[in-house]
Amino acid sequence: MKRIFAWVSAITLAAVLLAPAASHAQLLQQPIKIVFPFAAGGGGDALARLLAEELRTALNRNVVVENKTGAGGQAGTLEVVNSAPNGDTLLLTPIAPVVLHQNIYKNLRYDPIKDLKPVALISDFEFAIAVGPAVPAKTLEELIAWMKANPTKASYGTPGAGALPHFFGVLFSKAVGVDMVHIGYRGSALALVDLISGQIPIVVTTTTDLLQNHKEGKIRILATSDSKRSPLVPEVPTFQERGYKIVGTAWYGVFAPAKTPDEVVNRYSKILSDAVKTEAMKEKLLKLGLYARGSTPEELGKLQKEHADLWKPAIEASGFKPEN
Amino acid sequence: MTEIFANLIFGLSIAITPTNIALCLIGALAGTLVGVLPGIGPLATIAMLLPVTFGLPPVGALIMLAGVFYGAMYGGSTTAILVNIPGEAASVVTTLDGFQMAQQGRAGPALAIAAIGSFFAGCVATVLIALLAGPLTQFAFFFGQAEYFALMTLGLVLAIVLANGPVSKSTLMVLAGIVLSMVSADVDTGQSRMTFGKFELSDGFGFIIVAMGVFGVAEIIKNLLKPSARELIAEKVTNLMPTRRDLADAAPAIARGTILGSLLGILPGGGAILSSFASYTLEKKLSKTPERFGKGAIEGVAGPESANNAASQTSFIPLLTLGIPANAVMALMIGAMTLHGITPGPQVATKQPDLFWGLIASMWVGNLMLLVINLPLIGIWVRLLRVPYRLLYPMILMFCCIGVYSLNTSTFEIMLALAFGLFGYWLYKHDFEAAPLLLGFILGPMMEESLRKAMSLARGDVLEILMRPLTGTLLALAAILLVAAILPTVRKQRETVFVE
Repeated sequence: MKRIFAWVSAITLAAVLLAPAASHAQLLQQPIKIVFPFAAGGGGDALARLLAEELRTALNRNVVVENKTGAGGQAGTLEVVNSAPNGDTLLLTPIAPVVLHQNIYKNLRYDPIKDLKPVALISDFEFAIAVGPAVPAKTLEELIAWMKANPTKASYGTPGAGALPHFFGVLFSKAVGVDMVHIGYRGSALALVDLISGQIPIVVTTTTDLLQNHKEGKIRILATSDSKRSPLVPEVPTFQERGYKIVGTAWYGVFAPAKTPDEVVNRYSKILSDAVKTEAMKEKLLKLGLYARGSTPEELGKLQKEHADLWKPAIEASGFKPEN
Repeated sequence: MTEIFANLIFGLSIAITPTNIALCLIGALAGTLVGVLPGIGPLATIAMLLPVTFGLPPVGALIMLAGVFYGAMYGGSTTAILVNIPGEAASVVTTLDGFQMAQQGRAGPALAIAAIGSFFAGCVATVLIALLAGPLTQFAFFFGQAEYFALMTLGLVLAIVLANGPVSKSTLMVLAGIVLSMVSADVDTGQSRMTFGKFELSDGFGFIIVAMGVFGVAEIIKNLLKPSARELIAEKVTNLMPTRRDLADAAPAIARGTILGSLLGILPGGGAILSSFASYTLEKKLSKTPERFGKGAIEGVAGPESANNAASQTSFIPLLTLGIPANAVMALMIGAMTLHGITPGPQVATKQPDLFWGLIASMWVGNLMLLVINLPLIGIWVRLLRVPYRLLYPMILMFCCIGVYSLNTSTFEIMLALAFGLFGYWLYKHDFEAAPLLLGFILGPMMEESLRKAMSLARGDVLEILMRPLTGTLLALAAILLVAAILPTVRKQRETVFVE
């Protein structure tokens, strides 16, 4: 017992003695903080950590990732909006908090266009539509014919209500002219369980999440959502090719507080864009189901505005209407 | 059969990597520690350790948390036997004969038989999990959303029926848990529900916050208001070996306890506590000399200790195969899996075989470690019991706060956890059990989602859902059980069981 107490007190003492030293070093140079507004553990979080590593080597400064979760990414985004615009705080975010939320939440506490400054587009990815054993269709045309013949069965699952696959499904539903019912799951994995067992006929989600089961022949990907074919399933046509004018991709971008100086933003933009364009990084991103991009701040800003306009009608038609 | 062995060996190969062995050991030791110390149970500990596991790989994290659970089952008996205080709720019955044995100077054999019984039960339960997991997982793929909803309804009804205390109170607790879980954004429309316009509540109450408050903080308040005198019976435990006669008496009790515990563990709401009581009652009924019970009968230690360990392990079966928690600890494990990006459900066995079989195999490894380590360590545990609570509780409280803060770096959530602590104490004061609350809290959103998905798929046709054979049967069963529990004759019997 005595020995245990001795150890505990020794460790406590060491911690107390070392703490001021550590905070002293921090005072000299604050670490750069990349806020990722969703939980640790997913693909986006892994991306944040990859970028942190790149910034660390390029700037020779400590870079930390903070997972500030809450309210569909609002909490983390708000934290960045409210931080000092000195280049020490960055936001890595998927599309929703900076493109969709202003059309979803009436009382959004920030304006994603005015309160944030775009830094660089990091990567993007597309969606795909897949059918399971409940539908005999082998092509998009056959699926549409089946939906028209069985309108009460035309339900589609997605990884969650209020996310892009949901809204993309709305676009598709409108383009085809069948009233498809949306079934929101908690993540792609659960939607796939029901798709494979035939409980639901159709799933719309990212191509990556569908890929494995498509290759095993348990489900069939019928079309992908980008303007060009997916490198993951080049044999599958796009919606556009088949005559449906619906295009949609999602992406990850880095943003900074609005008043961050331009020279800092440009410097980070170059570092990050150059980093994701290396072969090694491209490969790492592809493993996460992401295509490496990179961009100037202006290009990201343009994309942000374009996409906000693109999704607005789909959001309004989706019935996803939170009050706050 | 060969496939199961191949799977178990695959699992073992994962469980015995140095990291996982170390994590299993840490978990089992931490579990034993909290099991030994009265006042903190495995629920509070797992809730507190959850944030610590963020940096670990998911397999290791779950192995460690599972270790806490069955470690606590071992540890709880030590305190029960030596101090006449159940270190853990499931070892309440062990105090009856265990402490008597200790007073007769036979603490050693009592501790040894408890450990041996637990180990035997652990081994059997591990094999049982391995045997049942495969077929059940396959079966689960026939389950649609409607079936899941019905199954969870049945689970909650079972939890109500099997809980201690009056049916009305446990029903109320389950419902309160469901209501609490509804605070969040609506899954389909994103509309805020019961958040009072508070931004911080738009994602609902984190379950770690609820669990840590209701179990961790409330426990501390409870203990501080009820100073317990601890009389240590044995300074040094010598002569661990049970006699040949002891072994002969205990062996059948261990076997029966294992079977009983394994069965009750799978049932929702049953679990370790109920099975230890049931085993004690069974042993007393079967004994030729029931008058020895309460006066140091070794069967009264062997049976319940085997039963609670078997039950704590088989309660992993519904979690691993269907993704449905059988009790509050499993509800925490679901939370742990979700935090690590694993969606609990039948797909875990095929998508993450390393996690699935690794976890199962680690239980056997952990049980073996506990047997080997714990008997020699009894001296240390005894000394730990002398650490005054006034030194322990600030550390526990501090750890709780750090844990909550590390989740979302939010001070609001710390206050929330403390508020739930007060709420938990209020519940305790008024004889409400908190475990059904947590179960309702975890199952509530799952049930809501399943029901709404089933309704959407059926385009709002309730009859179509009720006419599905499996769904209809399960719901009917739930209704019958609930009615039966309220019927006066059954109620009386149920009460006598719990009194014993």
